[in-house]
Amino acid sequence: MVERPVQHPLQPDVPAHSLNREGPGEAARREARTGLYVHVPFCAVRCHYCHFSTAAFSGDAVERWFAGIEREAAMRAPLAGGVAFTSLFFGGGTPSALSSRHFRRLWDLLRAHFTLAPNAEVTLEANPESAKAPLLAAWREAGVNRLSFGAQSFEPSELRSLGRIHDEARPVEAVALARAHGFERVSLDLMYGYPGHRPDAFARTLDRVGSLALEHVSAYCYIPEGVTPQGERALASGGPPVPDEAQAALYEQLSAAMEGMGLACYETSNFCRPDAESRHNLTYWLRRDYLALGPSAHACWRGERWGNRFSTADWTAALERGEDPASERERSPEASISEEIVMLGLRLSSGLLAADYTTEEWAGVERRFGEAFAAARDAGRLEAVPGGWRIPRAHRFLADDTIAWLAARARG
Amino acid sequence: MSDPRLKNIRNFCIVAHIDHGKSTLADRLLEVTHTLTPQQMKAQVLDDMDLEREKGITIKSHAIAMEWKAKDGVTYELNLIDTPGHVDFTYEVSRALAACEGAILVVDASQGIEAQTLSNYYLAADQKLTIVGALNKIDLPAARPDEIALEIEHYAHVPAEHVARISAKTGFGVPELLEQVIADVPPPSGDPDAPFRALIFDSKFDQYRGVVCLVRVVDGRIRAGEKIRFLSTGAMHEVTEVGKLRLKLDPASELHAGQVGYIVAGIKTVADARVGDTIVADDIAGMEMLPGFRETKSMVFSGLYPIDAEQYEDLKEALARLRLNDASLMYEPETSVALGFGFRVGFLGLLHLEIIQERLRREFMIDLIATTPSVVYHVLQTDGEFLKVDNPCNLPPPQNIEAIEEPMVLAHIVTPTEYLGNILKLCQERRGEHDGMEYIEETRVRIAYKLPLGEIVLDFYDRLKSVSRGYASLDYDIVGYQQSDVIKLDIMLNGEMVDALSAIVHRSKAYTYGSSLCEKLKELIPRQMFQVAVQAAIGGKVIARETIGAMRKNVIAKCYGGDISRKRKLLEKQKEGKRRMKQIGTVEVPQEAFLAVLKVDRS
Repeated sequence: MVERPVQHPLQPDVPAHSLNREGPGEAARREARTGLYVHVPFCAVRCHYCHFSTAAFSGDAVERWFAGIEREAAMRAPLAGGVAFTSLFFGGGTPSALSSRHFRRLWDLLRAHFTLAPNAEVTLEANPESAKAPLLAAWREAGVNRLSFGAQSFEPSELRSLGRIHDEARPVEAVALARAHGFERVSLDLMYGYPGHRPDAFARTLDRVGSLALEHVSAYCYIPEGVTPQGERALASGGPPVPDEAQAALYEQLSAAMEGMGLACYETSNFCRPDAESRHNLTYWLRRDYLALGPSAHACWRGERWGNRFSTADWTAALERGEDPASERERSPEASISEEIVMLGLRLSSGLLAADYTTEEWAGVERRFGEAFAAARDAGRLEAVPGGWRIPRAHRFLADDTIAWLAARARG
Repeated sequence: MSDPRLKNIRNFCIVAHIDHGKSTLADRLLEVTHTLTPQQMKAQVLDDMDLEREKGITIKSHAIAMEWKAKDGVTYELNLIDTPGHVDFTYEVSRALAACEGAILVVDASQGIEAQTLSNYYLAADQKLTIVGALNKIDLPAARPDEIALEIEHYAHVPAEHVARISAKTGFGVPELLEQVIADVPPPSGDPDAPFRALIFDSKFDQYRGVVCLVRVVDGRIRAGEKIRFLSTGAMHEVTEVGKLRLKLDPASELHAGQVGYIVAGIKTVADARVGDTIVADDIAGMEMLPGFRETKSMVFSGLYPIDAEQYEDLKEALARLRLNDASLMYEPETSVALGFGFRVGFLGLLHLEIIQERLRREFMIDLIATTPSVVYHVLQTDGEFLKVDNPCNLPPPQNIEAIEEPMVLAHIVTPTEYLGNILKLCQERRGEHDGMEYIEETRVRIAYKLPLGEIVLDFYDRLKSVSRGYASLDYDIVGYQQSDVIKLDIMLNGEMVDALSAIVHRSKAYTYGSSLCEKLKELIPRQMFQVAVQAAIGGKVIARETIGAMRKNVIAKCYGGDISRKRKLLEKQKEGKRRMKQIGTVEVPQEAFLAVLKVDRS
């Protein structure tokens, strides 16, 4: 049974000095224990930069997907016996493409198979365009307590070239409507560093974001994907679409603007007010257990990783044949667990902290990386913090270089 | 006069310029004599090292015994000795030739005589071998057999009408060529009843037998159980096995004068069975050494360092293992401030260096950094002391140097006349002294230049190929030392001197060379987390500088849900990249950068 989640208290007026505290906070790290991800593949239209698993929307397609989710939930639920999930995340695709009736049906289906912890964080990714009153009410009613809107930009020309269906005013309305329906945790997705993205345009977008008084912002640096129209255009033009210098400058602009809004960086691309960290994403970065349902969804559970078939058709077909829809599955040896802990944990601003892992896991990290950490400190690549290590703030946009540097020096 | 018992033996080799078809002809000979079954046949069958096949070159000498029933009804024992084709291995070639009475001189019927054709011809003529001329690839449309036959007549003194015309690829003319070998090449001389004496023309290490000496028996006979002595070292060994060289070692009860075969005698490393050494019966005193033996001398030296310092012991063991089978590989421990513990290794030439480095990587999984190759300089100090310097770091400070001498070579280059200008320019740039020129035919010329070895060991051959579109060919001999105004050029990364990048260069070229080296290093060293200054300096004075800007972005920003496969893939790739870099102070330097010196445009 799902209990009505209780909201985390928010601190509307953040004293400036608290921004110096590197997130994620202790409470968030403690609360992010086990995640459940549900992939809703449907989209009204496909954005030009997106390469995620999506499917055309039709009544029949939704029914087949439901049948698949039902089968997969039944298949995975025994793994989670006795587990109360601390977070549930509806991602996509566009979960907001489901009607309120469909959403309730999905919700009931999940409740029948899985248990959510009291205070569990329940996030739904929504297109600002589809955030209408009846849907918002249905989400809220069911127990969604966190919304993540894909805004990407507030510049009309940029929205068009990214293939977004909403106009620049729509996210503002969507956030206001969400607030009116009692959503106290709202996040916005932004994108920067795409071809032609200029600092002045980004500044205008960041200004609009600032006026929304959000708890959380995710801002992703554009990556050209060869399989997308935008990516093809960018790659066809030859050479790097945007110089590293330009993207790095935009990242600095972003960090400064976020700080101005009272949002501190707690992971490379994520910014929030104190205690508003996404618990669900933290389960990924802290390499805790998560289960996943739906096409292309990835799980990490009790030392094993698997990923479902990418296309909705293949995923559905496998389940209809009564087969496991995972197309890749591996049991992680201790060495790769340590490496993953370092790779993911060092993305967090607070760094890699012994307290976040089991004694065994940390012993593995120490054994393999202990010398490398010390060498990295001497090389100015890492800072020692009480109980762990972190990448200096100035190197945040170079994190992968240090992570690879460490991995190349790890033992065994 | 040959002993009648030896009249059915013919020992011969094939000499040719690279790519003129030597290995293909060897393959055909094995086929027509039914030495190999069709199942055993593969291209370049005698080259049993993967590297030899890949590079299309022969690195070690090989030999194989064949039988051929000739038109006269007699079955002959034919021993074919295959020799290395590269100038790095000239001495080895000369010893293999000394084991023969004849040589098939193969010339590409469209390319004509090249530098190595001539150098190999001269080597064969020095050994007084009977030359059987053969025009290969006569099936190709570009073939000019009549013209090229005249070239052969002119340079190799084989009457044009007597030059065989073959296609090693199709087998055309190959049986006739064998008949000609039998008719023209004399049977071996030597006395089967005289005291035993044999020439080692190569030796190889066999896991089960120890060292296998490939020999030509000059006089007498040898059987298992007999005692032999190596004249260069005086070492005595008991023979455990003798036999013929077929595709595999084929044990026999004895080898006698005139024959080519192998001897196994409980020898541990090939360094104890040197190419060119003479083996004699132990119980006979006062036996004379066969002519031509010399100690192998390394021409090029380079420091080899494991990228991962923990692989030092592995490298030590690997070098010892390679030396078991390569007596020309010399090494001793050395340390570098920048690179830690490694070895100073002497090579016959740059190809030899490449081969060793490649084998260490492939067969022993050791990733290496090779420091700037250097030749040996002779240094006379002001205090009268004389030094041999093969490592730029060991060059004394200028004020202690009275004079420096560098090794010189006499190089012969054969080229179509249209590239003559380019080549003369290249030789001038490399401080060459013109030493004559002759026309081989109207459109092809042979140029002689005296050049510093240090100027040609690095990239001269590549440059020569590039300025002549691949047509020019090169051969050279060491001709002694000559005084020269050379100085040490240092490279600094962020102010820290990197000893492994120091080079000895001629004063007149130090500036251009220093600045091109800095430019090249800027290309090869990736951006770091901070700006890096690359400087070239002479005696502490900076003469050139480049700046590598700081890295600005290296992160996957996106989250990709719980799917970390993409991050992991990227990490694997970046991790491998990092592993191939050496940390010098705070700067990570990739392997390739240490050989930047080879890629610098020095003109």
